[in-house]
Amino acid sequence: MGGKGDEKGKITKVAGPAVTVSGMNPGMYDVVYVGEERLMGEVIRLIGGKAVVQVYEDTAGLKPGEIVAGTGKPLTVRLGPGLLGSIFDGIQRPLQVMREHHGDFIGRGITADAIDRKRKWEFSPAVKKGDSISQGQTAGTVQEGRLEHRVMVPPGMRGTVRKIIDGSYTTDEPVCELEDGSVFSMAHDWPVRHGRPYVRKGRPDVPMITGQRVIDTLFPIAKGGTGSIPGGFGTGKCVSGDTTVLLSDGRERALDEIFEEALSSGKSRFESVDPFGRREVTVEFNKPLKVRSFNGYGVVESLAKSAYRGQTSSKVKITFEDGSSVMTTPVHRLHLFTRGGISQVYASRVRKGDRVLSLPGEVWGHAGRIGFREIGVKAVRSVRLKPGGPVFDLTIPIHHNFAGGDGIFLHNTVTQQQLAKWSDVDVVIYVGCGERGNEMTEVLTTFPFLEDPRTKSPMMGRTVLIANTSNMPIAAREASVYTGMALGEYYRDMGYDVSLMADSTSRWAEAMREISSRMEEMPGEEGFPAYLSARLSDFYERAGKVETLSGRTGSITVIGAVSPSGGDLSEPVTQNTLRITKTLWALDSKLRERRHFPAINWLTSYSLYTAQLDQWYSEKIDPDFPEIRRWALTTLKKEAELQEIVQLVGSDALPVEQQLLLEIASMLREFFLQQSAFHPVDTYSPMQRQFMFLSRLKHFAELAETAVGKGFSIERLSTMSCRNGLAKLKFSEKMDEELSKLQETMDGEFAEMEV
Amino acid sequence: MPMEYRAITQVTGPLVFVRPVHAVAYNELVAVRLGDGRIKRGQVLETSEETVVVQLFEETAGIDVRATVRFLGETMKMPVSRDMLGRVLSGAGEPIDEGPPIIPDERRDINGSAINPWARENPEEFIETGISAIDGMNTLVRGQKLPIFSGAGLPHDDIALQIARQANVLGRKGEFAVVFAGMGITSEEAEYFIDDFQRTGAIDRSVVFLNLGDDPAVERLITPRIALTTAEYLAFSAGLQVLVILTDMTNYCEALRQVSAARGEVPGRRGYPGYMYTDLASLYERAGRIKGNGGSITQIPILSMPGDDITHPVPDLTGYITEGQIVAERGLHMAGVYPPIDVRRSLSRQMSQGIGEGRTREDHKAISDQCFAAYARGRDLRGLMSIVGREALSAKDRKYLEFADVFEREIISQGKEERRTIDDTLGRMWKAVSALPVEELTRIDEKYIRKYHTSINQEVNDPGQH
Repeated sequence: MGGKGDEKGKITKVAGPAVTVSGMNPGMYDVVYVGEERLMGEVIRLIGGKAVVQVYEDTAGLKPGEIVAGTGKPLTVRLGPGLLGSIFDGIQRPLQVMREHHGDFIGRGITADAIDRKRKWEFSPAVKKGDSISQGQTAGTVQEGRLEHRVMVPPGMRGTVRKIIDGSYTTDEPVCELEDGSVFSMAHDWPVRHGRPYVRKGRPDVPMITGQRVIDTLFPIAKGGTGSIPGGFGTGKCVSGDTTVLLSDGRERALDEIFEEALSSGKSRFESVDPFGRREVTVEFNKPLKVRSFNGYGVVESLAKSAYRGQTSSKVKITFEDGSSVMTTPVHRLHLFTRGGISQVYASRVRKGDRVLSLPGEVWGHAGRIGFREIGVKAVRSVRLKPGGPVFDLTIPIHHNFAGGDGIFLHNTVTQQQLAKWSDVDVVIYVGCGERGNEMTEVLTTFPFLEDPRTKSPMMGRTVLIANTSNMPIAAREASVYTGMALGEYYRDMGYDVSLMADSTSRWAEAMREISSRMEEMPGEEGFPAYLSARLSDFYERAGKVETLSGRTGSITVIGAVSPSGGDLSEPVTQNTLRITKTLWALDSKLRERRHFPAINWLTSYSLYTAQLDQWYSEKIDPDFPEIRRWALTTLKKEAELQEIVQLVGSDALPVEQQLLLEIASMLREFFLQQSAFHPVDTYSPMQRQFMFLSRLKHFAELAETAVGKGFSIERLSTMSCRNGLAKLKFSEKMDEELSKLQETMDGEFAEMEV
Repeated sequence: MPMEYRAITQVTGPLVFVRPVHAVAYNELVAVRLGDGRIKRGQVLETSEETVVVQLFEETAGIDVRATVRFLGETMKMPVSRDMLGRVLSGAGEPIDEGPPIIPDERRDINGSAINPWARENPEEFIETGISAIDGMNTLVRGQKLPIFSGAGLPHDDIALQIARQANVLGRKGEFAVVFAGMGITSEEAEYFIDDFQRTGAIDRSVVFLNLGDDPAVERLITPRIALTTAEYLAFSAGLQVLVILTDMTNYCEALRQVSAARGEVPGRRGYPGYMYTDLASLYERAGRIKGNGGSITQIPILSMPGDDITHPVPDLTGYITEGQIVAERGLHMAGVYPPIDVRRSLSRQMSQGIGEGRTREDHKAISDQCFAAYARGRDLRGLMSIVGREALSAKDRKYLEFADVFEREIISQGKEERRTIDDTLGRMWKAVSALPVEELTRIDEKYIRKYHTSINQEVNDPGQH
């Protein structure tokens, strides 16, 4: 690299963070210092004799003609003891140190060492003179808080040890000298955009335990796996009855026709299985279809991006006085004129005489053939339940529905923070990427005081926080996820389990888009650069459970939050992320509205790791675990199916066993799945307790089934004191004790009923 | 002395393209002198050796290639001073109240710098606004940014004014200083605000910046920045509690789109530029508290949702940056409820940190969660009732229906001058919740039920009897 390091060039153009430089020949992704203030930047494009640099700081005041100095090196991070407990910005500048030296605001051209160069560490060698060593091998250890920090032979080095030290040294002083004269110290630099070397990737087969019941029990993630938390996934499908789509192309076209047409001409096709195990197909249109949506007050135009076909177990046929009719799913909502104005009502709840709204020239609703022929208000003549079959829908940005636009993101953040706090890994890297300043502060102020539930030591001792808030320079935001990943890989290589939370990858993608547009690149979908998908998969692919160069096993689990704008899940960042990640915790705004937290929808979430993790659960927790998980999921799914019927006929008309199932499912939801992040006990639920809790619920369900079989009423069950005990169980500090007591109370109470 | 030269090569919308003679800095200020001697100001948007793109803060009408251009050699600065309190200034920061010129203590870059996240203090001090729908259900805290999402014809101005009038931090002396930035608002609206400030005496602790509907659109991009620069000075240098009201952010975004289109940039959603998120963040993030500093900036941006569409890019991106939102609902407004705040869609992300023991009251979180859930259920049932009739509902459902009515009548609804204490608000919430069957109160810890439930007196409940 030699001579390149001293190269100097000149600014020829400044446009926001993108600065064009001439007169030097840097390499792609080399770091350069721009202007008199020496603003840090990175070369992102070479054209002819010019280089485009993305500057990590505000460029106001930069002029053409100012000097640009090269370093000949790409963007690197400093790896060594002292990283844990640090808070960095997107390019590894320690925020604490920066505040001490430069005040409360981040000025320009500030530099600070990522690792304290004066601090001495007690190094104990693990190799001796004459040993032959190679990259990745542990040369010695230092104690970094509670963690044994393994000082590894830097990548690319091998040889025989001539000299190794023992004692207290700084991270810059050499600790080992090889026969060929090369030396290394406790710290080294690594380019952030390159994955660190390892021997091989393995199959993730151990769950990352988070203490969050809905995650650990129902939708676990494996150590070394990938997960995503998007807002509002699953809203918008007609089977869940959330959208009301108005087609407005003037012609009257049935959705199945549109769907069939799209199937033959459409761009891409995506097949999946719905919560009830039925096949669904989504086809993306070649050209978005113009539709209009009713947003509650007026009609707004929107573009449908894809068509969907799924299955439903029943349909409702509504016939109007004029003879026309419409078929929908029972939970599809229609707009009714009522005394109180216009209200949305489930199709199954529509009754004879109701007045349904339809607008001039437009078609209402979906599912099967749709045939409104007239306009205005129509009176209902009859409502009939019909057998199910295929249903269709269009994916459009959601109106009249708050969906992902809002609070989703919050609870997204709360969920991520819960994961960062509680997951049973050795090192947590939390990347706040384009986050709110105050929310980041919440993380920064709560973490140092949190106790690790397993080790009883401060949580911060195993955490690295990277904070690049939304008003900090976007180029540093773009780099921040890689900075986090490089730090994570470093600890992985020591043989530790690392989890990396990126919040939010949408903000990261937006940074890419912004820089790309400043460079006047040809935009891809929605203005995002064409390489968006490749960048995302590169990033997630750096997750995994690996055999390290030193023969140990380490892992990085990557969890990315996605915040689709407008709650539109068909947008490119969400779609590309879902294709890559294997666990999905779907946040649901409906649950949020009902204050069901964590607002993870149990019907739309999934984990593709359950099969490979079942062995672990059976061995470590209980042989019955997979069975009991299936029971819980089945109960919840059956509930969803029954709800469709309840909407139609009311719960009193159901057979008593089904009423019981609804009751049990509601207990599952309210007692087990709901978990308070703010309650001191409930915030973390150990795995063994999760199992015990769930098995008590199941036990209750079984006893109740017998009791109901003998003719006892559901109401009677709901006043039992053991039911009440189950409800309060999660808040109890002496839960283990109460769990066993509860079993007795339960058996006792049910036995009494017999008498 | 900066040189003046004739070098305009092209004029497009608010953009003027200039062939530079010397090196011009990015974001540098520019004065363009017209043939008739008028001066128009602008800022450098892009600079290279061949072309400099200048964005004018005013209309480009009257500019021709003979106009002369002067580069001022510095980026845009705002003179700030404590004496600005009580003044009315234009959207570009010039006094328009016939008062004396402002003698600055300091001149500050209007773009500010990001607060070091480590220097930030966690916003956790409860602001009592005296409005139950906010205090009880969507608590505002000092240093938070909480926008009001509204629509045309809804009383968002009244809500903002009521907050400005009544806001105080419990246990702290002194009222909030108010920095008001009006962007593209009508002169009527502006007068409404100023009249209210004058009537209540709030004007003495306010700084008002006005960019009216007929002022240059591009100036709207400057107005919030100078207002926030002023707020930062008042908060972090003068140690005041500052409340910033920005209205209407939708007009601001329109101006942003206008400039972006003129520059020929690749448009994002609905024609708004792709960097709108970053741009809005550079405004909204200028709120908060700093460790060891007594001052604070609390932001209340107001935006009107076009077509009441909350997924429109302006409310959508705003919601991703701000810490929640207060949503005004047309239905409630029609029903005569003031303030028409839809608590179901409203949210304060800082709430859980600002409430609880030592801040408001120990039971605050539990009771508000319970009210939230019960109200959501009541509202759903209301839809159902209009079809099947009240009689078809179960007794329990009817309780929820009543709850929703009581909640709107006794808790959300209040007078424009009515100032409720937090105890009053929480008391009202307990009273409403106590009408529900006690076994329905699953979100409240038993000990609070024993303590605050209005019909259970200090004894363990037997759910069967209620």
